[in-house]
Amino acid sequence: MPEEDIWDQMGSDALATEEDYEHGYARVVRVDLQQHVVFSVGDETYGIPIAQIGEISKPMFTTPVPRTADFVLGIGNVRGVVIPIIDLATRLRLKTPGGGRDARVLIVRHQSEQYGLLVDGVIGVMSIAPENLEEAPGALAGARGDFIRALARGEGRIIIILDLGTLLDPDDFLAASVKAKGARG
Amino acid sequence: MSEPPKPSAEFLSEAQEVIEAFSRNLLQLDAQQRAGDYDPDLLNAAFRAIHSLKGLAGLFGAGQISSLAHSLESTLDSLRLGRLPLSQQALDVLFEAVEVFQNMLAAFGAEDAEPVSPEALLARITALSPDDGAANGAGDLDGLDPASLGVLTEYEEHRLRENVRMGRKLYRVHAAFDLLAIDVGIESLKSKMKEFGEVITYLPSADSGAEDRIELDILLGSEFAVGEIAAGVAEDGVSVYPLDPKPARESTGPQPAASRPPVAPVPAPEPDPVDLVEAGPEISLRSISQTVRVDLERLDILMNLVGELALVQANLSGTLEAVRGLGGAADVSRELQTHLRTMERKLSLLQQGILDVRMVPLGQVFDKLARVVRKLGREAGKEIRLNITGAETELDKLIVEELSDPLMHMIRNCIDHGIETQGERADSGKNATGRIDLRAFQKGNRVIIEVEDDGRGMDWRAIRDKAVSRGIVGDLESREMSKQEVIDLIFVPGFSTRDTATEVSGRGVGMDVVKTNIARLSGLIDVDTVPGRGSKFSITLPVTLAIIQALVIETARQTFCVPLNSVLESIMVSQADIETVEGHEVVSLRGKTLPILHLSEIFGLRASTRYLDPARIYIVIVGLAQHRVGIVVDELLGQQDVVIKPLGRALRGVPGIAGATELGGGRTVLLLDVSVLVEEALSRGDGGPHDSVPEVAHA
Amino acid sequence: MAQPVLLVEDSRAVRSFVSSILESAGTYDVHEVDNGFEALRALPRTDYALIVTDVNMPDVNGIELTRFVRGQEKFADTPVLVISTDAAHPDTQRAMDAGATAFLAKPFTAQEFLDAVVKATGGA
Repeated sequence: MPEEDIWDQMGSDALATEEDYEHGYARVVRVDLQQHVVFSVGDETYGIPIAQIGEISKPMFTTPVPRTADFVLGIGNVRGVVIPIIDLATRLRLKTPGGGRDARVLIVRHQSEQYGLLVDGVIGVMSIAPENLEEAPGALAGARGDFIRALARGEGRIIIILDLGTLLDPDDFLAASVKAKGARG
Repeated sequence: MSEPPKPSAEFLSEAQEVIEAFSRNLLQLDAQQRAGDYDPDLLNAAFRAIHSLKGLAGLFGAGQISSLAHSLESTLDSLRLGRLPLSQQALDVLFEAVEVFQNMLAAFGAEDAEPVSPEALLARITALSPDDGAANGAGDLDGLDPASLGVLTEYEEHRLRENVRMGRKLYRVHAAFDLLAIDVGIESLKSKMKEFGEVITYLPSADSGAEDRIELDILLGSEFAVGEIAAGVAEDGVSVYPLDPKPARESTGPQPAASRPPVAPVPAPEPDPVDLVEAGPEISLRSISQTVRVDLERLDILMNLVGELALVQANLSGTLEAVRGLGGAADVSRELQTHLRTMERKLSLLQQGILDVRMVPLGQVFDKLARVVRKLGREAGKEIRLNITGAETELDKLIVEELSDPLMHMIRNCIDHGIETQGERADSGKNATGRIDLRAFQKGNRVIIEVEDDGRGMDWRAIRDKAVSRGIVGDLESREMSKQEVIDLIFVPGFSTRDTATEVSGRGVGMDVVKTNIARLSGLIDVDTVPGRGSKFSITLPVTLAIIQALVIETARQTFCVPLNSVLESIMVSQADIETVEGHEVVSLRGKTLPILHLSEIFGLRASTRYLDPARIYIVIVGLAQHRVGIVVDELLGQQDVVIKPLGRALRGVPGIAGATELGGGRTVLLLDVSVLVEEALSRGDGGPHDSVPEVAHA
Repeated sequence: MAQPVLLVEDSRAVRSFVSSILESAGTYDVHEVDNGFEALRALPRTDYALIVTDVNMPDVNGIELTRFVRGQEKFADTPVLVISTDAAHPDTQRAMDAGATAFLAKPFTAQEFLDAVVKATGGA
């Protein structure tokens, strides 16, 4: 899908473009709805609050970093800043590896640092009313449950809202073998 | 966020400065108060700091900071007006306020900060309430002109009374300055006057004669005689008049004191005012402190640009070579070469200029440590004196910030484990007051920071026994170690463990963490200790971090950078030169045997063959102190200045990787952490290939 | 035409706050100084239309500065707006006694400050 289509699909009012950010403003839509960027990984649909997303870029060249966990694709360079890029499919333990023609990297901001999340494709921006959000059921999907902050219903599907805190927990980034050695202290 | 972002950043940086200045005032006051007498100017400066903070915080919507500053301000006002004695208890509260303010500031700046609750502190401030109506039996100023009193602040008036009460005489020092040079002139006069007593205030009056001159009457309290003072400040073309309250009574008039004639006989013929502009040949017309504050991020952008320019320059050199290869146009290529050299020189000047801007004095951290020493010393019931030298030594701001935690931990160790109790010190014939020296100095392009205590020192036998009992080294192995090797075991993970941790040292953080943090800054830490006499830790750091020279290498088709300062040399050997000793590959270099390691192996990179060309194997010899290791690489791609970029919270813990850098063409490559790789290679070398000692200890 | 204003205040952030209020009002040209001596140096060079000063400053305080300004022929009628942290503090009263036109207690909003300026300058 060409780049323009994606922006069209998102609705030009909804998502601040890179240009908007450079000029330091983002257009405001309705205040009571929370805007989420909705994207696909494997067969599932996920969302992240738009406030946490700095920009959406095409997959970039990454330099692999040794001794890191399997989901760490490596480091990428975004405007001179070196940031970790992670493969969301691997991180979420989905069978299919990330990538593909429509793949994008969501540059998210977490605790004032940036991270890149490789996803299969960006679907658009969705306004989610607070009443349509439900807390993640406790016993959800094993290991993945930790990464889920809430579930949302919208446009006939379930959107899994991700929790960046657990998804980007620094403790998980090191390879298990390195951690075992480092833990001896 | 409704707050406009710019003033908020401005607020944070100024508030931070004000609090730091406040903290410095307190430290000086604390030392002077213990010695018996303190400088009232310091107390007033502390008051003014909090007063400014209150106003500042109020304007920028930091209500919590403002209201705490308000409470503190009245306490400080009482202190400076003598309504409340400056006791250690009062100082405790003020020091505590420094911490609370800093926490509040941190919370104000962060998005998801925990709220700071000042209730406990507020209660302690209230508990310090002044003895009401203690009209501080102050000196009588009846004789002074009420008009001249009217322009003093309440505090200045109090100081006048205090000076009278202390039996000092009051003087009016009259001086005239050229407006252009007033700041320089005042500074020099002020420092001279301070030798004679307390400068209470400056009362300006216009010189009727000239528009570009100003006359000042300075109120001075002093126990010296008028002649002595006049002699001491005479060179500046100023005159001194005693301001005796009693005879002044009759000349009370409607005019301010400044414009009246001298109230007492002139002690010496009043010299003509000396024109200071002529007197001082090199007087700057600018303000003395001319500084601009720059956001570090902006500097980083400049730094990146410089790095990129350096790449452009390298490319140009390459092009020049190519042009030369084509032959012909010798004149043009010579000219190009000259320009390139000039560019290279200017580039490195530019680089240095930017690095210089990033430099900050270590004093920022030292002040914080001084507060810690005071607080922990009091908690531990130990009397400790901290001597600081070299606080003006400058380092890259990033390094100074990162040093704070390791230094804090070392100081805590000194207080907790190093300095003995007063009883123990007395028993061993030492001064009851323990002593910690904190020194910083520059040595070449390194900065050395030393933390030395005069405590009980470390017993290497005890360290050995403990290391053996913790399974860090084998019993037999430990007997072959030198004394220094044994002492260095305190830096091994697992050595300092919970049972030695107290309230003071904190839990679970040992010297291994200190060493790791220092290593992250490309620094080294050494320890020197004499049982019964004390210990000295020395940290050696590079002055700047941001740009380093690197050797660019390739292995298993991945490019890496090796910091050039840890590269001793690169050699080429053939496979026949590589031998195996106890399962480890080694190579001999000038009679010494060096262990070698393969990055592809330790990093788990997929390499097609062990050696790209068995006849030409490149080995980069790296070393730290006396430890040397060879790293096998496929290609040496050359040397280059690189700008180090941090890897961020998630990846900075990867052992063996120190950071990343950009090599042009958007290529990001990793920078090796040589100290970690050397350590890994050596610990592997201690035992068999896969049963190194620490792992046995862990199991 | 922009009127020259002298702003004497030792806090950098407060200075830039006040300065930006005045400058965004559009009719003032603000000269900032951070201590009394600098103020003394600036005064003879310009016929300021307004002087805004903090009270609590080291060396030459705002009260002394006010008295000095009043003693100068060319500033005899120039409005002096004193900013202080506390209206009830004796120093505020002393500044008024020394000849200040008005005072404004910190903290203040941009509007409060502009109102005080308008009042001090006689509604100009």
